[in-house]
Amino acid sequence: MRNIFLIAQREYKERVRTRAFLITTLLLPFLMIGMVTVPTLLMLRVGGESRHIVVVAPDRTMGEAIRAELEKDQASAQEPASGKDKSNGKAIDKKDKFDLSDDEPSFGKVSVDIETDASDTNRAALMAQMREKKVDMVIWATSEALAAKKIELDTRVSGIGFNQIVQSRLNRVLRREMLKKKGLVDDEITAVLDPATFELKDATGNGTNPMLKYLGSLIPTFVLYISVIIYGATVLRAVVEEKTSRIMEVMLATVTPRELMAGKILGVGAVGLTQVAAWMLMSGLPAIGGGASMPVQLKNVLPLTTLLFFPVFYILGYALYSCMFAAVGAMVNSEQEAQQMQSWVMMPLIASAVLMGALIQSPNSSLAFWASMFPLTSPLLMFSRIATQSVPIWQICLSIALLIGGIYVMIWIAARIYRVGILMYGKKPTLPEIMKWIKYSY
Amino acid sequence: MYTIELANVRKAYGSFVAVDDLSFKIEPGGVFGLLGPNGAGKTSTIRMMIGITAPDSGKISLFGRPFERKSLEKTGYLPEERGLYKKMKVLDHLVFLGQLHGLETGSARQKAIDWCERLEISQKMQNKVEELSKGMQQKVQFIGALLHEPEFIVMDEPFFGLDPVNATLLKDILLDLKKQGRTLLFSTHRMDQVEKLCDSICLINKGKAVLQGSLKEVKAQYGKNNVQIEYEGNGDFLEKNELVHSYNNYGNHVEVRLAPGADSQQLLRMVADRSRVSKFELMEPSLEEIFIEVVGKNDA
Repeated sequence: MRNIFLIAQREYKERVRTRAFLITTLLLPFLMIGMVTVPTLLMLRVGGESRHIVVVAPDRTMGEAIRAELEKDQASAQEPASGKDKSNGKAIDKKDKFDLSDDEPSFGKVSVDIETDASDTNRAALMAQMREKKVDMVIWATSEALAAKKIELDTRVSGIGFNQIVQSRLNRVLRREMLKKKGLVDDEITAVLDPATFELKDATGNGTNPMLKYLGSLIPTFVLYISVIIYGATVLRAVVEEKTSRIMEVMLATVTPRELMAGKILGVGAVGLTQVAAWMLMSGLPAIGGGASMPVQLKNVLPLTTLLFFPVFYILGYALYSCMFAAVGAMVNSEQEAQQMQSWVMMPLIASAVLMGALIQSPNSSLAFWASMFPLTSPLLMFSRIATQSVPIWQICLSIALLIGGIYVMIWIAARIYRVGILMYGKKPTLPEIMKWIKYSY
Repeated sequence: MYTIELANVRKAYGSFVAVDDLSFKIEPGGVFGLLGPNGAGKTSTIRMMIGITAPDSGKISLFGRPFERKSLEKTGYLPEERGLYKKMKVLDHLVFLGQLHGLETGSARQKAIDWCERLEISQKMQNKVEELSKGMQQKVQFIGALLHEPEFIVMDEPFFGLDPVNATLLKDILLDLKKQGRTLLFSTHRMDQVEKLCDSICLINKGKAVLQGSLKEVKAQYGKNNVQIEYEGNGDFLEKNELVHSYNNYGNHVEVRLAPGADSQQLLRMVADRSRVSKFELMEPSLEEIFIEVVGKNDA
């Protein structure tokens, strides 16, 4: 026991002291926030450069109507938009799933020119301008196109958000024009087009944004996934390092392979727990800073059950996978070989991540049940189920029991592979050889 | 009580028999040489002695009792493949190894500092292992094996890779340990180095013991039938001489192995007749010669 503690202690101290640990602990949360928000921001081009749009319309009135709709942001950017204008765009533009705010996504600056010449020569001229990057988008709202309800958009802008907003705004103009032709007056048209607003609430009656809640369950699952992979791979690298630096034999003169493996796994695992605890603390800090109302919101987003089961599934999942990583580390002779072999261990983890989407879509399927029971996939999937839905308590207990059983078997197998593997140098063992190692009495 | 006793020990890896029916005993307070060519089974034997692997059959007793891990606290081991945690500081590393050998943190620290001073690396104690030269890393490794003042010290190829200065330093330390009454075992394939240190030896080849006993006895068995001659003049006498079994000409002297039953005095007279003799000495055979002869005989 003392030896296991000494080995774990060394492993922990040496790793926590490194600069790499400090940097990942401090920066990864920001990196993750960045990974979610930066693409969204880029897609929506908040405050991006001005874009030049040319509208080719049958007449100026139509062109002006389109221009007014496309440029309405410019007005609202300078003066507070009127309530009507705002609610108009709301529901339609809500398609973008990263939009967590209630406001219409910002459209950026545009300048709109109107042309009525739809001839082929003008078309060629406009395309040439587009190639020269003088024009970003040409809207071919010709009379034929309007009649057929099929409008061609030539665009240089690759952001999906921008193009989508243009399309929905064009639709709004077209509808308004059509209703006008049917003889409706402006007030009536506005009343027809004004969409209903919806208020999303969960079963508890809390007004938490479901999007936030979804992220609230997704982020801990993601952290679990990343941490198990990172620290599992750390165990593997630590074992390979001991093999290549040949310190293994020095260690084995004082400790048993079993103690060495256990100490290593515990020490690295403690580093992982420290890091996760630091992350949890960091995510809690803004809540404390944000006054009294924030913790309540946080509680809605990250319910107590999620926080409670996170360490349980983290520790169990890590225990299972780190054993496998340790065994693989003992089999190989170099970092390169380890890289190839570790993908085999990661496979079930990656499979779990792939299955997670399906599980969230249909939480009551038999796939969801079995995948969250099977020890190799259950650490991630049972946790993600707990985070997203209410899972019957017996299922949670069964899953944990099966997982502990799986860990027990895995430790037994891994310890046997480890014991023989760490003293083997030379070629990579074949599967039959590994089977033989497992059967060795000593 | 013997420090260590091996009785009919056998170890096979698959179909390859690394150690075959090996038996030997080591008395406390002596220096024992486990000798043999590369691949003879030395490292396999040592690994079994300190419990890294277990023998397939046969018995190993350490300090008079069947092997138990507790005995390892009184054993120091320097493996053939040296290794340290490269990123650790020297002192931290030594304290860690001392703790694993059962020392308390404080005393492990004090002993590590003392040893570092003795081996002249105390100014490097706060450096990382990877910043040290090869020779210094070797010293750290030795300290790691000796820190807990083991009664029984096992060293696999201890002189491997050492420069002459460090080799002498190590030899002095080993002799010092011997004087303190500790038991030393080392293995090597460089027999000339061990010859100066060992009290008794076991020669192994292909996993089997081919010769063992005290160094004196072993050498006595082979008698003084080597002659070193320094001379000026005609060297014809070496050829086609029934007194000469074989010879090695080193340029300024020649080593002659006498034929069985040949009289050395007869050879002296013969050489003196033909050339000026400046040296004529009867010598014990070197271990290397004995080894080559024994192994050669076994292989034939």
